[in-house]
Amino acid sequence: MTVHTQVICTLCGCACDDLEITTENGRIVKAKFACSNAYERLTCFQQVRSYNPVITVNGQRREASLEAALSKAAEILAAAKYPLLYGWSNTSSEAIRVGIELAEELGGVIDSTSSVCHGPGIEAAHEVGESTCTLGEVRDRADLIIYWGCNPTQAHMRHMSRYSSHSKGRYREGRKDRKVIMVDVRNSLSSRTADQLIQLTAGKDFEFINALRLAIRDEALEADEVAGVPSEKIEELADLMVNCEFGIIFFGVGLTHSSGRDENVAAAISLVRDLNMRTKFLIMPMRGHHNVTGTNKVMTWQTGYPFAVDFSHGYPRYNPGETSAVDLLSRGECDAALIVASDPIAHMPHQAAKKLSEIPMVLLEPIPSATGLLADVHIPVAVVGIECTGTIYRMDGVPLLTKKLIDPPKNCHPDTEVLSDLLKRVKRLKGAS
Amino acid sequence: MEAILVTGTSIDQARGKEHGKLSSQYKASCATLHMTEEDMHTLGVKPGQSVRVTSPHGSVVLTAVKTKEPHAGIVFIPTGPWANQLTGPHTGGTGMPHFKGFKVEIQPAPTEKALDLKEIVKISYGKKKS
Repeated sequence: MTVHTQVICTLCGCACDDLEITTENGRIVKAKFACSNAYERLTCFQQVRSYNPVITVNGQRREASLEAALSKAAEILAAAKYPLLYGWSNTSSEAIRVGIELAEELGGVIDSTSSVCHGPGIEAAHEVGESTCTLGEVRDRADLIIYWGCNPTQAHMRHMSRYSSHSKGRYREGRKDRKVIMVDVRNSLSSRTADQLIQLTAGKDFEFINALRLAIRDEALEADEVAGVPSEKIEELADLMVNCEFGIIFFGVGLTHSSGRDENVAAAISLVRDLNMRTKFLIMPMRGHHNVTGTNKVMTWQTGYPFAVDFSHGYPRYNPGETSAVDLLSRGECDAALIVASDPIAHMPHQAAKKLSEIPMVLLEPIPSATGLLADVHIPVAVVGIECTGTIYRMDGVPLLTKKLIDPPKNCHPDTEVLSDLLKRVKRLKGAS
Repeated sequence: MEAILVTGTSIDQARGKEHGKLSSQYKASCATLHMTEEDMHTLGVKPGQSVRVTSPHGSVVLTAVKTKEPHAGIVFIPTGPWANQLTGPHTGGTGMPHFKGFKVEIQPAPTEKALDLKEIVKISYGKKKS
């Protein structure tokens, strides 16, 4: 029996680094300090994971050797004119780096799941900048915490206790020293932990943010209510924000998934900019997968662009709406796909997912999924932070090196190794043609 | 009845997927329409009964679940292949589809039941027949 301490969790963007995991005979038997979501992952994945590659031949799925699967995967990718390399948010930064080289070699597009989560927030930051910080600063200093369009008690279960409202920091004793506001169209479980819920009419975040900007500038609101919120309540919130010592807005996909998308986030960042004329205020996205932030970091330092990077011209191009995965698939432009650490068949609108299912598809993923049922080649890989090591970026952009706790199954290797092998094979095939 | 649909992560969906996407837990957590008691009364359905939800982009049968929080007129489906039968692919030049805050029509569907993942994949996706 081995007890691993200070284990970094590879579930959500919180990347909690205090887990205590007990392993015995190659199995995880205990997971201390893990949230219930992470506990399910750590204790269930070995029962549900895939062990051997599967390829589809004449419409029939059958198990294959790793060599046969890699060979078929390389043939599919090398034969494509404009492949999409998509996913990446649940793998290591080292694997993403190899994936970018593969995309360049293939003249394809590499996009991460951020294009369907916080991509619009990144586009907003291009437009108006960003005033942000690390989670440690929030824990030590924040006295006003606003969760906007997110549900941390269900999606980022330890965010409040480790980094924000309920945490004890250098200058804050804990919950009693902090005011917590929830802004959402739903009255979710998270609002029970807040001092106040401000419930907006669906799709009216942009209007509400701009009303708040007016109130912060001490300008009169002519309307009686905005987004279903009475003007007096907006003015009260504005006063609370102006009079705090250190405030932060944590925003979720409630802002990026609804009407307004990038403009909602641009307005929220502008609100924070206005507030910094009066006090200290910051903003941070609640990133979902454990290394979705890493996909943007690695693509930016490798290509200059954070996601949706197109190499078809021989150099990197970036134009969300044109080079982003859902748009490319909906228009039927890609002729093959490599999916890594993601399940786009389940998580994309079905018209885009249907187009994906119609083209040859290679999948690197440890567990069975909707995408796995349709992949021409499915190669199960080692799980980062459990079966292999790798660098991930926490939601605030702090890089963390994860630990290996147990050995992966015989035929399951880290994404980095599988992608490096695929890259060599693709180079060989393209060199020969 | 007409309602505003929000799709997103839920605790049951997050836990359900860790039991495997092909598991009964995943279907039980995702193939669900969460609505208030008031909305259920308006629609004439009880928790556990089937409802058909239709958007301009598709239609899907789900199991009705009563929510604890009051937000009448707003219904919720956990992220997954069932929810995405209803979402549209248009991104408005941002790369981001519209996952939250659009109108849907809900009807009782007493003679239908939610499909499982394999059935959805078989019916909705797959290579073109040559």
